[in-house]
Amino acid sequence: MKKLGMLTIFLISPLFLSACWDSYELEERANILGLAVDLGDMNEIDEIPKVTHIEGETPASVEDTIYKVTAQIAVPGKIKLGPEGGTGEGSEKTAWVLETYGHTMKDALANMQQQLAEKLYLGHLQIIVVSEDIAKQGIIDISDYLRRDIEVRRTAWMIISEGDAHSILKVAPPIETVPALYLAETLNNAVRFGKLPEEYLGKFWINLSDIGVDAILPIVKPINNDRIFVSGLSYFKEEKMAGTMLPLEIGAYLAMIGEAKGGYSFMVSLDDAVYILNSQKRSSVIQVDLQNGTPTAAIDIHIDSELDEEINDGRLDEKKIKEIEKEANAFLEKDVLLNLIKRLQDDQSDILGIGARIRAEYSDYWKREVKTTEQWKKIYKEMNIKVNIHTQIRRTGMEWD
Amino acid sequence: MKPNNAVTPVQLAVTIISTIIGVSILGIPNFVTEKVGTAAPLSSVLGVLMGGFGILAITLLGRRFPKQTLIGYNQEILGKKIGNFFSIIVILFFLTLMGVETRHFAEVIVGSLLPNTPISIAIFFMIFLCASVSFLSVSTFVYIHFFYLPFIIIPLLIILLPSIQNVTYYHLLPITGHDVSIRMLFSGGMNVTQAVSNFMVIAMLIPFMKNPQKCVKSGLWGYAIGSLFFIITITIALAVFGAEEMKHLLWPTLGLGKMVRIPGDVLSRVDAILLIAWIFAVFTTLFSYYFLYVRGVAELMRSSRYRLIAFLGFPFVFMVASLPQDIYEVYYYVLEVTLVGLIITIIYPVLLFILSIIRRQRGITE
Amino acid sequence: MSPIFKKSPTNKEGERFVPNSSIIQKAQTVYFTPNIKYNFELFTSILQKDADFLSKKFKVFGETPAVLICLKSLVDMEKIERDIIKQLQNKKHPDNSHTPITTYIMEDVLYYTAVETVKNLAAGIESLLAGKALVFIEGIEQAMALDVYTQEKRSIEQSETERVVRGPRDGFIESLQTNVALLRYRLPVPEFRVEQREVGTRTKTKIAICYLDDIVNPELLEEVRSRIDKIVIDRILDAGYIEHYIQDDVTSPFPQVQNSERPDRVVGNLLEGRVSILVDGSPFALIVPAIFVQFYQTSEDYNERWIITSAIRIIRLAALVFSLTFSSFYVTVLSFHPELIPATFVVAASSGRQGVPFPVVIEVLIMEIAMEILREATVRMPQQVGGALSIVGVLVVGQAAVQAGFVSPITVVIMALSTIGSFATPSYNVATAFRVLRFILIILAGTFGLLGLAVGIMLVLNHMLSLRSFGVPYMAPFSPGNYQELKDSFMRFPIQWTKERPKHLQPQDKKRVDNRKYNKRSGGEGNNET
Repeated sequence: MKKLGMLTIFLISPLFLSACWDSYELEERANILGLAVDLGDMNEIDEIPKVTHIEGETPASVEDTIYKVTAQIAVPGKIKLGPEGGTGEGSEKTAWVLETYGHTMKDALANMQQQLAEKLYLGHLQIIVVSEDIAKQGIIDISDYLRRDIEVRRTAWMIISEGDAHSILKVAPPIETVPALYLAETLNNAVRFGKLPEEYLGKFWINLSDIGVDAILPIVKPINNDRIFVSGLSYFKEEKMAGTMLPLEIGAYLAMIGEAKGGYSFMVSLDDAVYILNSQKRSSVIQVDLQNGTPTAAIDIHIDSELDEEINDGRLDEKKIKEIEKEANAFLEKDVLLNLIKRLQDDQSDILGIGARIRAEYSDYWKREVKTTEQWKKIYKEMNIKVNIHTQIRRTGMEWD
Repeated sequence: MKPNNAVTPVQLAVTIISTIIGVSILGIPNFVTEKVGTAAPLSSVLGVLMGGFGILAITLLGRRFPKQTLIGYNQEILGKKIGNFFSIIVILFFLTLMGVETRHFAEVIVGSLLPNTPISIAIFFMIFLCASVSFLSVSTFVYIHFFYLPFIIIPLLIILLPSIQNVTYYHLLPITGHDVSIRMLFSGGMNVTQAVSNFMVIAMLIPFMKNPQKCVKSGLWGYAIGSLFFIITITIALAVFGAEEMKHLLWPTLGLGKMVRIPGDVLSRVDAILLIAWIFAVFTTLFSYYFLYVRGVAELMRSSRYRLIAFLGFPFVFMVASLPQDIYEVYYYVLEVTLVGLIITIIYPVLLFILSIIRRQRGITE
Repeated sequence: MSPIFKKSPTNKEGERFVPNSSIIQKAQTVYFTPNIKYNFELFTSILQKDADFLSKKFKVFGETPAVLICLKSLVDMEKIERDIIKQLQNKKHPDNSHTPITTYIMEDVLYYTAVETVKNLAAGIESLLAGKALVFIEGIEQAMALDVYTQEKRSIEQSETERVVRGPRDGFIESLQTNVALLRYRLPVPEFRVEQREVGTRTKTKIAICYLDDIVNPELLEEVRSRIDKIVIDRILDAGYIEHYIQDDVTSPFPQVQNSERPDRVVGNLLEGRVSILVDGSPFALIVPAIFVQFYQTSEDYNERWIITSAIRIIRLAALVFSLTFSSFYVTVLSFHPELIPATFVVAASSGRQGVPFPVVIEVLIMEIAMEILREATVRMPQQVGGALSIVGVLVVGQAAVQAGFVSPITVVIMALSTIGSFATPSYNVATAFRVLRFILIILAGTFGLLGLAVGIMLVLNHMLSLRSFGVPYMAPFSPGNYQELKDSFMRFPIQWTKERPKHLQPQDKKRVDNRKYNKRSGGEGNNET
């Protein structure tokens, strides 16, 4: 019997070899490393190819939206193996940037597939750039396809572009790599440096789904057409982008959620002197409470920092350090944090997850008073959120005074 | 001298663990969360406790009849004809369950690894793996379970432990859920019970133990550890994804794998490791079902032509696995079959045990 | 439950029919006569064509005619001249003696130990073939058979297949007697048994079953004996023949009997409770039962420091797993699941594949086959040519194939790794088994991706887990697990910590050193001193 079994395997395997259903060699795959989604302009295009649909058979809401999807595909053979390979060109030639239009994501990608010899392959998708316009309209429709596709990784980045999304993909750093890989690396390292929250696709979706939490996405803009600048963080209200934060406010946000790795520096001025502190380590506690039937929140932040630069000052000493700390606390609390929180409340964007915390800890209250997300937004807008910040300067660098 | 291929208590426990961890570990967090939301951990603990009655009954029966298998004491307690009838029902149930779970397995393989490969290939391979093993000796069965266990558990931990850093505490609160009635709590728990109560194969092993009296303790340990993995998986998946996102995910455990990053970037996606480990886990589970079928039928027919019996079961399982049309139907069948299964895996042994006490029957001891 | 150490009861008992030589059969009834000429012709009629048939006529005590016959290829001519003919010619027969002449010769003339008398032709021929010289004396109707057997044998050298850096340098040779001597030299205990058997209806090969009487499990020993006794074959040209007959599963690619050229290794295994089988004419000793872990251990492991040895063993195991799965994993990843490896690597790999005409599976298969051809060619070649061959092979396969765009450079790297991985295994036979299975895995992986790979690996593992060697589970310390044995499996703990013999062998004496016994003895000595 065992022999019979072995024999069957041997007999069957050559048959199977002729039909390796899922076998696509690397050169048979169009390895999409970056995707950009813009809103298409009706005037620019004459016609959307009818690949997945027939005119007039789809609802008007879909018919009227047109996405312009730009894909960056790694061109095989451009990046050589080993140290001596390479053509000495920059990254412009290493990638192939394609544009198509479609009513939905899948529609656009199906159109793209129609033009290509290779199979579209999203397994290494690093970065999805969404234009600000789409983000303001709502991002759920784009997410659905990416969520269903088995190849898309949850560790990819979704970012919002200031202006056109496809311009981000056309950025070409003068380094021999595929641009999208460089962009993803920029973002990944920003997380390592404490400049960005670790908000990749998986986390973004979780925040998008959760009740009482709103999502955030980084905003970038191209600089000089060879690199990108992380110009801020967009915050969402439900699935729609509600506003943006400045880079320093990203630091404030990271401090509020207690992201441990510090990365942002901030200026503190005391009389004439200016000091730049670099936050090294952050921690925070977000406490929600119910007082007389109204929810309140208190955020307690600790920042360990290092003094990196001082200008117009004679000597540093223990006393001076204390003064600087005090001033830093005041500056951060009044000028940065409270401003930011006020803006978030006005825009009804609960990115700190205060709603979720209240829902988790006071579920009776939620059930009784809040019920829906809309109701929560109203409460959130009026809510009292206290911030308490303690900055400590631990070190002052290699200079003694 | 004692033969050295007798089953030891540790091996019995290991067999239970690797039988329990099976197909359902990928999807179970979704099912439970769908019903009870954040109460999923609590609910699954309840479910595990419910399943505990089954394992207790089976092992106590084993201790009472230390020289007989399920087939044997069925005859002893219920009389030869009725006993054999129930034995056949049990065997048929496990064969059907195997068919359904093989399909479930194939569905995951096709859905997440090989989208264009015909589903019958995955079904064929899994049944072939189970049927091609020698059923001649019980020890081979136990060795296979023993060997694969680390390869199942370690990758599972590789996924679960790094996921802890993505945990958000408010995903777990309140632990009783939002608006979850006691009935829902139990109904959610029932899903877990359905997933973990497939340990009946040990009734075929206990008579081959060196000391069958030890089976209760090791059986309970095995069950506890195996179902602990379920509880941990459900809890961590819930803590990472939250109840809302979980509803979007067909296979949340696989989703965990897609979110984990391993330092060093050797493999950029860890979920493939999880999938391989999961294929092992599915094999050990289905192998247990098939073992029960082959050894059970052989004992009923008083035959030792295991190979023949093993190959005769092949078409039946294949047929059952080919029945469902789409993924929703697969889940419908899985839930229905395992629900009926609760009667066979839990209620039936408990009744059998009570009956044997009432009738004051004891198996032959030495 | 089936008894331990037994083969599964599927085997039919082979019917025993030993064909005998027709010449011997006929000669059975032919008896010698007092006439030496007649006796002599009996032999010449059979052996006259043989170049090594030698006869020498002489006179015993200078008076009675006699003839000595032998096969000169088997005998020590010097011994015959010096110890037999010279003695017989020079001595005088005392006239007063009443003892028959043969008895006198055997008792007084020859100071030779191995003398016997034969009476019929059959016995005569058999003794001739066993390297004895026959002496016929006129008037006596029997012949004296004098054992003057000698054999060409090489000197004891270091074994070629199991080289060590640190450890004894002697290896077995073809002569059974020498091999037994090598074992006795290391085991000067009365419990060491060497049972002799004769197997092979035509080759009449002597084999020896060696064991330690107070350690080995009697059931195991009985099983070994019965399996050897069941062998029906005309020839045993090497220990390999015996191995094929006594192994449990003939269809398996895995070796279930260990072989070794090293006496120290055999002795080590005997002391664990295993049985060793030596075969005359083969420098390889068989060791049963064998389990998988033994095949990646070397005798040197026990000589070096344990931490280093443990690390090396883990590397060997990894190399073995590598050689089995690495190339098929590469195929799966590249043509089915490129998402498994980092994006930068995929981009680079796709550049390497630029212009390669075949799918990865074919590419890997071609390279694997080329590697096997190269390996096979170098193994059989004389060493001087082998060097040149490997240079050509490396150049052609490595450099030129890549430059011609025939294979991608990464494939060459992968191939080299998996081939070298299989060479890192000390046992040639296990390495070969894995190399062969590798092809099946590549085909499965190339057809069904990760599923095929997983299924292939599981088929191999399931097979290994079902395998038994003399009833002992092949994957023994891993499954069924045994903590004590794990100390000497993929790790090697300090020898002081591993006091027990492997449990799966069920030795009579479970402890290597019994502490109580040892303490008592040393205590006694202490008393004597005071």
